[in-house]
Amino acid sequence: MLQFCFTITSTFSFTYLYQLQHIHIYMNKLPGPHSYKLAILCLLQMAVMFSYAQNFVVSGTIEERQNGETLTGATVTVKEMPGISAVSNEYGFYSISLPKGKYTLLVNSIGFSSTTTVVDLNKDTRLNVKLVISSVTMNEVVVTAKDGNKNVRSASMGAVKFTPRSIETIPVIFGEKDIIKTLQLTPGVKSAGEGNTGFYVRGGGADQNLVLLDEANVYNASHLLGFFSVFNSDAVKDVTLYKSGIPAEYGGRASSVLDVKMRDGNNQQFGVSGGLGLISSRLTLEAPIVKDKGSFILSGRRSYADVFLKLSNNENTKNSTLYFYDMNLKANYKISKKDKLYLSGYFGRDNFTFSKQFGFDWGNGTATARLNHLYSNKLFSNTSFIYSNYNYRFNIGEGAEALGIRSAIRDLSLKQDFTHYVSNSSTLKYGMQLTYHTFLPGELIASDSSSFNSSTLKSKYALEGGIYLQNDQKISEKISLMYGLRYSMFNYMGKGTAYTYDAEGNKTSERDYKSGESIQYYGGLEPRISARYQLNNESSVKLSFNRNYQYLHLLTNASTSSPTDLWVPSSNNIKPQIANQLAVGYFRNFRNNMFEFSFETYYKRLQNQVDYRNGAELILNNEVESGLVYGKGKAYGAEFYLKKTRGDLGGWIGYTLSRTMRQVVGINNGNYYPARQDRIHDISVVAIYRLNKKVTLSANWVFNTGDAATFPSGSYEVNGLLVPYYTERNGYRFPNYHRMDVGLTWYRKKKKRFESSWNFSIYNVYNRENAYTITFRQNEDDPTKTEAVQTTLFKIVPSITYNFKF
Amino acid sequence: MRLLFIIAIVITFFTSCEKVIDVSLNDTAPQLVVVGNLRQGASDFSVDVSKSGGFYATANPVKVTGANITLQKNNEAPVALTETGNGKYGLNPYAAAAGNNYTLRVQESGKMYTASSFLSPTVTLDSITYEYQPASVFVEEGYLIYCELDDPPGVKNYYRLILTLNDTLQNKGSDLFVFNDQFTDGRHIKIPLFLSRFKPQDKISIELVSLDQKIYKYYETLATIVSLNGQQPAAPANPLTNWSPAILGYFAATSSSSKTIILP
Repeated sequence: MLQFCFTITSTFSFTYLYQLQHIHIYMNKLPGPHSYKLAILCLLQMAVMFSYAQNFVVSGTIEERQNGETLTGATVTVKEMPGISAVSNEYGFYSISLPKGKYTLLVNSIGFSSTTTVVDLNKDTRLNVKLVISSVTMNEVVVTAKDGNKNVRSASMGAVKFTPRSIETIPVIFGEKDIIKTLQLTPGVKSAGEGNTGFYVRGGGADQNLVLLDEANVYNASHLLGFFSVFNSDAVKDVTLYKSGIPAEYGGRASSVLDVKMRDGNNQQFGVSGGLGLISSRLTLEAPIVKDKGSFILSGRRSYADVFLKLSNNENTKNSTLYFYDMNLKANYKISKKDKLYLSGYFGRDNFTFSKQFGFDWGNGTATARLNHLYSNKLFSNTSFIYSNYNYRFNIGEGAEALGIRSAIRDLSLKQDFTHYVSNSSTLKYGMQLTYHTFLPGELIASDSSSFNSSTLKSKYALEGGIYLQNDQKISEKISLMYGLRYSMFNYMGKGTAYTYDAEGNKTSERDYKSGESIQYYGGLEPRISARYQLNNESSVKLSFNRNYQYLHLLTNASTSSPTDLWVPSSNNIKPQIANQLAVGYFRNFRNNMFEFSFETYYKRLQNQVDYRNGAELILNNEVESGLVYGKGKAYGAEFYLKKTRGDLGGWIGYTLSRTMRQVVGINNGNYYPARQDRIHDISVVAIYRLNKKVTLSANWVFNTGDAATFPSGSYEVNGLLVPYYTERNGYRFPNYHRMDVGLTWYRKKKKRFESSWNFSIYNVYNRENAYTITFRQNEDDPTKTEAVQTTLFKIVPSITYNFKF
Repeated sequence: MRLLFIIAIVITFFTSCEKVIDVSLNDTAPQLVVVGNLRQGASDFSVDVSKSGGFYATANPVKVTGANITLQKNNEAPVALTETGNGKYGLNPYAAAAGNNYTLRVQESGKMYTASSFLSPTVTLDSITYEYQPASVFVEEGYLIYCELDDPPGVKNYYRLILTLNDTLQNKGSDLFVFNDQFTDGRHIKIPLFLSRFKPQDKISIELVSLDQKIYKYYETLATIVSLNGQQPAAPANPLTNWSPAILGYFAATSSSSKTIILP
């Protein structure tokens, strides 16, 4: 084995040798059969086979000229050697190996004019490229974040990428542009409810999405009960959602990854942008720290519904608040040619106070410190320290009767990632991540004279880790592969008490554990494979398989997300959720990539899904696990997506045909039943039309089968009260949901540097009364009658937003 | 409860609306419903036996006749109940006493159903107090009522409050109010009926009922499906009953204490 290792490592630089040893040390620590380790080494070996050649390397960073933002996913091609290309990574870095010679490098990124640079390659060369926003972009609609035929040519599938710029004209409720709401308009992604930013991906739960903001986990990605996402579009560079073919560098959630990257800030000149809306306003400042070397961006947003409450002459109303705010801050600095430091942070809070009697606030805070380092022109490294926190607080009553409830989850992570440009046909990514989770499930704080006893639930601790290796490899002109393996582990540990329960949820034993003592260990291998076979220049077929482990579970007992939903770790009772997904797709572009078409079909199985018993206590309960039951799920479907990427008219049509089923012991007699998000048909149409230089019109229309729901199949009387009688879980359906939104964006004439626009939009323009809830109840006036009552949350909602930038 | 608050706000702020809709529902085979309330201090005991009907069928449930029902106190010999007609079965006179375990057995269509309930000792309702509250966006002006009691320390207590307003029993789904002493054990509890406001001269009678744990769970789970202004749970289900094997309804042995005040 040692010799085997040596043969691999000898081909590489010392740095790489060091890194490999690093991985090898980790592998030696892996529990499980020896064959796993062998499999990882074989992956390495394969990568190496395609790698050796006596070449020179041209590498560098691709940036936007105007503001110095690094560009992710830009393509570098070599005119003289068709077929050789490189793509910039999430920090804008690229690397290409070429034999000695003179070359013309062509750099492309969507929305930018392509740039040609001639290099005379007789040594390793550093070439930073600056791109200029294309004038075409100014004059037409661009609704894609991928340039050229990349969606056909890359091995990746099931990925959707957006930049805020490409979606800014799409109408949204309250005029608050929101990248998550735009993602919900793409196939395979479903909204968690009317106007809600929670989402389901390919039959997965809303808690099965890994939501990352600059690598930090965001536990509750919504404001104001889900109507707004925590992502302020002004501070976002781009967003990628992986529905399948999830790269091995991501782990921790079963169904999808939403990777949100914050902007770096303008390193050329001071800039201000902002917007005034009906619900909230935004302001962003950005400036160089040292021109070309570093910059920062500071972005804030606050809602102001409560300002109107202040106008009231009623004391209670005056003292009530209802608002949210968030702040994004990011700074970067080039320490040297090889090192770049990034600091980014997010802090957001929702606050609701009613008079002095009731206060409720909740929010996330994240911080990421990152160091990019170039070990060589082929080896890019990123080290991150990440902090994430989510908490909520209640304050009830005042004075002696005052009562407080607190709950929090806190993460500290260390992450190390390497991108290794082994050759033009192989890019290796490998790294590791360790996260220390602290769960504070609940604490009740009361004064001595109140009705309540103070009590604190026991904190829970866990260490979550992962190591991965992935190779993005071009086998031939026709075949490219992206394959990787992730080993994830989870150690649920003391200090704490572990309980065991019988099948009915009665406690059978308990045991105390010392600080740091392992209560339960889980680990598993997560293979991730994507393959592409190019049929011709304009079409390809792709296949992907991925397995994902999820060690944290969200317990919620309401039909919509609530700030008090509880995150719990895997434990001796709760096993990690496991998702296996197989997807096959056909991709075709038409008319010089003006049209992109894709058809993807998937089959997904979910194990160890968590549900809860009727009457389970989720809040302030030390033995919350006694109320849980476990099951499995399956989801399958087909997604059709036709997109017109540019021109005066842009937009897309998406259609998803899918089923999502669950099976849980003790629910529905143990039979499969449709999950709430089992919307069989789901259609979305988005159209953006550029009328002239000043005016852009937009519209979208959505239709989906109503949610599966549990309705009564009878009623009976108890002490004069008519009670609905329920038979099966989710045996009924809500009425079909459909809605149309329209928008108009009016760009004002640019004065010097000052740009501004007005956005008018109407949500639900034909005033469809969609069902938000359907309740079954006794008629208030005639208690002998029962009735079904539908609540519609949003009828027609007009809004107006003013945006500016200088 | 706090969710009610939030939902109320959201609904007030935005353009929501409510309407009665026509939802076609399946009919299922009628299910047996047995409701028995054994109260300390009452002179008799009676049990209602009926069957469930279609959801939209108006009240007048099908009454069940010919059932055999017995009541057993601790390990004493069971006593048979007499059928009094219209689906009712009773013992008259019958005096129940706190500190005992009662078991009700029902034999119907050849099947036996059993439920046991512990009659918890009475907890005295200390006083009803009130406080005037001005109007706000969420609630109209009026008196906010508090129930005050001394919770017995060291034991788990489960309570239900039953309100009678101006001699009318408040018996809507949203009037179901249960609480426990999980966080208030041994304390002087002052609990507000915080969603209601009362007018001057209102006559307020409150009965503080002591329940056992299973009946508490029954009412708690019942409240989630009958509460008119509550948020519908994601997966509504039948209340947790103490009947074994499970049928609809419950058998509860309870004690209570009452107070009445007239607001100024």
